[in-house]
Amino acid sequence: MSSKNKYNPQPESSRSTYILGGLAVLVIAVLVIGGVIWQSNRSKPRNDGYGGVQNSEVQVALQDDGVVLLGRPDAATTVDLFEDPMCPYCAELENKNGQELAQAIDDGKVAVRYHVLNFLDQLSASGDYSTRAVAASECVAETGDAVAYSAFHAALFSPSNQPKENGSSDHTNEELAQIAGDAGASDEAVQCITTGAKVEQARAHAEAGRQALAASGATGTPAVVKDGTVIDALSNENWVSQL
Amino acid sequence: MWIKVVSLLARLSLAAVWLVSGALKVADPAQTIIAVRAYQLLPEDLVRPVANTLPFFEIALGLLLLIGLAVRATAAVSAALLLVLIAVIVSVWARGLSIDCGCFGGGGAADVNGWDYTKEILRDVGFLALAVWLIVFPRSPFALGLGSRATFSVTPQQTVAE
Repeated sequence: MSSKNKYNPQPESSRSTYILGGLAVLVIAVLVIGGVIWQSNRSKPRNDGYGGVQNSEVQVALQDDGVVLLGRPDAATTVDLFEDPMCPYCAELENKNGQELAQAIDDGKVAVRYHVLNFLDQLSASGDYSTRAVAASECVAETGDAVAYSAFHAALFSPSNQPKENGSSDHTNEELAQIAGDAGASDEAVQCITTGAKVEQARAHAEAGRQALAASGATGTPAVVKDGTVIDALSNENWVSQL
Repeated sequence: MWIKVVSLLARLSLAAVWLVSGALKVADPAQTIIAVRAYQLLPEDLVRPVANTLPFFEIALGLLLLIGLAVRATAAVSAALLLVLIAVIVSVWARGLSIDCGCFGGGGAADVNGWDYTKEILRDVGFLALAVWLIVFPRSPFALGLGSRATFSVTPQQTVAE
């Protein structure tokens, strides 16, 4: 007998198979489409379209230890925000909650103390990008222009500007000054950044900030600390509204 | 007989790979976005949509394989996706980037060397082998689809006149 005569039974079509199969495809399709929509909403910027701080009552001040205080004098509460300019998770936090936080600052709900750190310096192409970005942040804060500071801070962490860790390039002081100028910083701030006037003290301030971060009990950046308690901002997207 | 057993094992293993990989990405969306961005292959506008969609696409592939529906087609899509992932890792290696692949969680800049990339590629080649096997031998027991089903015993449906 040749192999052509071998009886090869195939499963016969059955209605229950088609129904079950169709149902399965439907369930999987719903799961996938629903999942993608849910995920997209989760990672969308909150309060999108608001922009940065806009209220002229909001003030920005560069404190002695390099901490930048941004908020209205009558703000209901104050939180500490620890970040490194190279840190991608900080950029994600900025993307998700940045505009929401700006409105909360405008409304007087919260004032933010920005502690900008530099521990990711060695992952930058130039070797000291974080330190120079800290210096740039201090230059802009010193001018007292809160709207410009908020815009500059957002620009610093936007994916189009933030250098990649272990990347092949980052920004020179001139480029940082350009970003600040585009954000509305004064010529004085632009000059301060270009000349690198605050870089040395930025190094010391960032080190102090790093110690403050360790003392707060947080394990890494971004870290949001309120009244001594660390808030898990990355996993709780409602953290601003819960302040 | 053993072909069906290997197919069953391949189907369930590949299903597990996709389900675990997808679930880990869904659990940490911020890290998935960072992982996709770190490859520096997509324009920024595409990073988030891809990072949001890829995990659920993997879960869909895993579910289809798990219930044994359209196994050959799903295996073909799996093979294509794995080839893309291998190509992307090779691209990252060739450009001298140092990142974690983010295939099972993780992602972003990391302290990796050529050996780590080799291991990731070999692992993906192993998964690719499973997918290719299923393209050739898609039938296995405990499967829903008509083209994916094979039983251990044969029930004669009708007599054949010789």
